[in-house]
Amino acid sequence: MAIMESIETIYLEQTTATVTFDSIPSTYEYLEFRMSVSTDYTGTGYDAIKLNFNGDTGSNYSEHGTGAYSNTSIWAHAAGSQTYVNIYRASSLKNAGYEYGNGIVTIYDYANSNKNTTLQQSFAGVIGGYYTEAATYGGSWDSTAAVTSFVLDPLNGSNFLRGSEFSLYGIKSS
Amino acid sequence: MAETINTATPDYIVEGVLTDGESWVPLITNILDATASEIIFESTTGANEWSQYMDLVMIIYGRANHSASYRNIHIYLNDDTTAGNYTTQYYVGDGGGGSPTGYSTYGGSYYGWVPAHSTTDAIYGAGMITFYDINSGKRKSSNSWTANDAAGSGGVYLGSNAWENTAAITKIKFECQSGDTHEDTRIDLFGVLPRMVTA
Repeated sequence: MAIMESIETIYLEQTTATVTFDSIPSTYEYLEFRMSVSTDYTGTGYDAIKLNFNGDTGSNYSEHGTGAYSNTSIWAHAAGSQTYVNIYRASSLKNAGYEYGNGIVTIYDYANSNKNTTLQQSFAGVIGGYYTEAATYGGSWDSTAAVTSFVLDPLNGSNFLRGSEFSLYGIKSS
Repeated sequence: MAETINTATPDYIVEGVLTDGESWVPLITNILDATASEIIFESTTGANEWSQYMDLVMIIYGRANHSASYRNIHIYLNDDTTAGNYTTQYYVGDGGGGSPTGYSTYGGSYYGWVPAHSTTDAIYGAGMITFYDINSGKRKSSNSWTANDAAGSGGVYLGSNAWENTAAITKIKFECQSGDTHEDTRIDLFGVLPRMVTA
């Protein structure tokens, strides 16, 4: 029996506004989500990704993080009652078109209908000509519903750029 | 150096058909039986043909052979040892101040650190490096994390790293800053498979 299985990889061959993982099997204990992403945002050199579980766009999300960026600052970040939880980090058009941001996200006990859903982002970063960052984040969705789908949208940009890649894995217990 | 390379026919290919197996595939393990100036990981054949993987993950349990308390980890890709072709953004903490004690954008190859000689002999440091989308036309980037005790001067490191090149990654060189890597250091390399369900 495989302990960690690939569920689906989405590799964008053209700019795309929204990426959806649906019909997520309930047969795992944890989900791991790995990505290499850039958007068409023309601003500061970085972007983030809005995540919504099960189509819920209510003010049911919160997040916390800490990191360092662009040789100028270390920081801590918190936000509550959001209509999405941010996933970090996407690069953007202000960086060169071949510079993509990265992240690894673990969604814990996602199929349990007695717990709110918590995610941990162990790595988040981008190394670009206009922005560099290394960070770690946590987030939560204030719902006990089992996660069966999630949708990803650029926070500031309109589209994910061609070449953006999202891979979802399932991790089993004994 | 005891090196194990997995060149077997991938077990997720059964009679030419892809099956759902483990998404992490063990590729190469190196366990040093003597100090070494560098440790090379290279794509070959079978399961160790890297062009089939989305990401690579390197897990390190290591130590440097140097008089200092710790030494930085340098990673060089595809034989490119020009430091200026690598960039790192990192922050570190040792718990002493209750907050990160250092952060910088660093022009060069810096993937965390491992303990060295002035640290108690048996102490080795842990680390993990993820290389993303290694076969793409993107500039290659990675995240690195290390955690060490070092006789009272240990700490944690979290970094983002970039190699100023869009070539597919086929070779990785690991070395410790101005010194050899100590014997009994162990480094494992894994390939992470994609699953292309949709176009």
